[in-house]
Amino acid sequence: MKRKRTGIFWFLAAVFTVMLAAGYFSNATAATARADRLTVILSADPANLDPNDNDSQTHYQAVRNIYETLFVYDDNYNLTPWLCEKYEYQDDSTIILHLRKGVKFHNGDEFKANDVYFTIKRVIDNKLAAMVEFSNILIDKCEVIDDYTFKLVTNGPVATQIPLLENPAAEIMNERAYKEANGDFVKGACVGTGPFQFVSYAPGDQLLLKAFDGYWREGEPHYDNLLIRFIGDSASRAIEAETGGADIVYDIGAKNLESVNAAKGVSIISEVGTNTSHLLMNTSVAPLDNDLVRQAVWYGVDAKVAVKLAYGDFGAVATDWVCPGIKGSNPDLAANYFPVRDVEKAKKCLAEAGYANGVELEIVVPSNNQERCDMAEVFQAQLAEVGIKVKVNIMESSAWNAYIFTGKQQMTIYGFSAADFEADRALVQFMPTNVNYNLCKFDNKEFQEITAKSFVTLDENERFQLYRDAITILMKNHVTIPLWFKALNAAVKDDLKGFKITRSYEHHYLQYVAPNK
Amino acid sequence: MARFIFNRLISMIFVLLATLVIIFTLMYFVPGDPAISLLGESATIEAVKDIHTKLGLDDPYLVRLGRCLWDFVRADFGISYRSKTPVFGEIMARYPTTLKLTLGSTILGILIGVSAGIVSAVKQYSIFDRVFTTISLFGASAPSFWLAMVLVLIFSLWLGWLPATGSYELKYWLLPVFTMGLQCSAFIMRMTRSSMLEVIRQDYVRTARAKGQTEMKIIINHALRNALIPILTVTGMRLCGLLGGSVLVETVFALPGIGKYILDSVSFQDYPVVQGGVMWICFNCVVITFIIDMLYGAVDPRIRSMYGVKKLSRRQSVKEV
Repeated sequence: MKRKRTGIFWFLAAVFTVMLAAGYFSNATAATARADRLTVILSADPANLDPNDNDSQTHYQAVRNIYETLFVYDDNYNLTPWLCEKYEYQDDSTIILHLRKGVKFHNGDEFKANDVYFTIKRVIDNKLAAMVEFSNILIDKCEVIDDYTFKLVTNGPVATQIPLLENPAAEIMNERAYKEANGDFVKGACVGTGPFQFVSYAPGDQLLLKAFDGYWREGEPHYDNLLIRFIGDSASRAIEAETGGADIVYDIGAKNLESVNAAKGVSIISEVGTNTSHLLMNTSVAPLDNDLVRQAVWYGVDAKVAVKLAYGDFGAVATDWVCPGIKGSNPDLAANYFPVRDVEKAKKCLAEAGYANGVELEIVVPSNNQERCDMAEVFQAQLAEVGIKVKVNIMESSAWNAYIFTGKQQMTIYGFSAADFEADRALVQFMPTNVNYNLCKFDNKEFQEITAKSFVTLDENERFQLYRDAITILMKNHVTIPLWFKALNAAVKDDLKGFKITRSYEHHYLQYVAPNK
Repeated sequence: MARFIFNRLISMIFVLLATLVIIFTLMYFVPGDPAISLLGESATIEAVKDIHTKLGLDDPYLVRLGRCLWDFVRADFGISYRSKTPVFGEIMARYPTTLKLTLGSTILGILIGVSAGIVSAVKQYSIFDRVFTTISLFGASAPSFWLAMVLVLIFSLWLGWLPATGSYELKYWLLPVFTMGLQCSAFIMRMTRSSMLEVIRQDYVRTARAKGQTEMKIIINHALRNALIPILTVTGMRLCGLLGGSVLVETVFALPGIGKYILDSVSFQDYPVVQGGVMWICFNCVVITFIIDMLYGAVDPRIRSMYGVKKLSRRQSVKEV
């Protein structure tokens, strides 16, 4: 009898333990219906849901589904009005924006000019991350003319003010929702006009959105729910793509492309982005302050070999200073100014510079970017033939960042993004007012004048020519060697259609994605 | 006993304060600028300076340390530079994941480790002993991230039985808990085995056997109970280690835990998060150590009586005066 009772006790204990474990490890998400859901995996958490206070691609990729901008780029990368129907310049520094009528926020409010004013003013008053987009706006002179007309006044002519309004950091938020929720984006402030509306956010884990029934573009989106998960580890993302754990997985690493491509039911969609990696030479530190030494490096390296070894078929060897399609690109640049490896010429330059017996240089690269480390080692081997002994200094990424901003480094590998589709965003980083100036410390008056002029030239043709001229000066002075065009990619299940890579800011639109029936 | 608890609580406060000073100093001297991370590469020097002023990053070391200590005394972990939300809330959002992973692994580790350790000790040099010892050696020496990747490869990619990442239902937790539990069990198993081997040769075990008690009773009531102190110690240490050291497993299985959060924040130079996260883990470890110390008395009457003897001798000494 006693043994029987003991048996019952152990049985109940076992059942209780299993039930406890099941409850202990499950959470509310598991209970949510999984049908008709699009699951997308990003490489990092957006960190916050404030549309105007973050400057990372993963933030854009998550939040762009909730909020929208006044302008977008169309499939041909022409700037197109979105929440704005049309615009005109009243004078060089005054833009009249005519807003789209009938657009609703997720809380039912109609999208109006006062929301645009509120969004810009909040960024400027609080110096949020979107300051880069709004820094030239004179908010006190801006004016809400009527519910659907907004006067935007800038501090003198700003050539790229309209492209800057396409930046996801310039997304428009709802004034009433923000004020009522006291700025808490998880408790009510997360209200935009986008195709999906906020449901829940688990930091570091996932963002759950649902389709917005009142979305102004009929027939979109095509899924009731959008689950955005965040997986930082590249190999884990690749495994999720291979096992079908998600419908779309962004940013498949170069080393995982082959295995994901080989998996059944999933394809890699890839396109060249807007970021070009360069070998940068600091023109202010010896011996690189001597143009002949820079020329020796210039003729001593073979970028194609380095890129091929580091990236394989991922991305493309740079054939221009900026990526194809960026305003300011110059198809003739490669033929006229790109370095062609010539060891004898490099040795001659070195001898003329007074280093006939060789010279020592240092290249610093971040440890978390294996491809850049690989390229640095290739350059080390190539330059050794010239007589340049290169020390490859692989630094922890934060330490590397801090070091290159001091301007004490000699060479590094760095990527310049032109996500607004104009070369200005890359060129501004060579200006003394920019935090990245110390990367090359290229103190050239002609370059600075041309670049500064390009920033205020509204005429597109003239502006694009100024970009090309500024880039040519950089090349003539052997400041940077363009290496690699970064590729953007995503693993997409074959039973989906409508997914497209968005090159600008990499915030791929998910409202077009639909089941491929 | 009360005096012991009081002394322990005081020392806990000093440990926490010392940890805070160390972590603050380390973060202060780590190169990097959070303002640039916040604003991006297009930022102007002027905008970076504004952020420095706003966050108080230009203040001298002692001013910033004083501010940090004052916030800590008020249990204010600060605001994350990146998310702009209170750090404590961010930590609490991730704490359940770390806790589930840590406790699940420790429970699994205890179940496997203690059982295997007892069998190994009782059946010393048997085939069971050799198998368990070999497995424990593997478990203790295999790096967790490697083990995690191998398990994902086998059970998710090849067999398709379990999900590779996530933390939604019980099945999502099996691989991460097993990865960490296997390591935990290896240490516990080895400690259980050696402690049991010491104890089962003692006179009182022989006496219990002579009195005719069943072998099970002898092992559980006499041997294991007396061998528990080192097992408790190693379990407590593993629990503390898992709390802060689960970052690699959290990364591979995409679990939103505290370890991964701190690591991401280090690369972003989000100082308040790093300080707050480390302090929270430190607080947990201090509490665990305290509980383990209390458990010593609960499982071993000799330790309980030691406190009693101390009290007695103090009273006696008063009388003598």
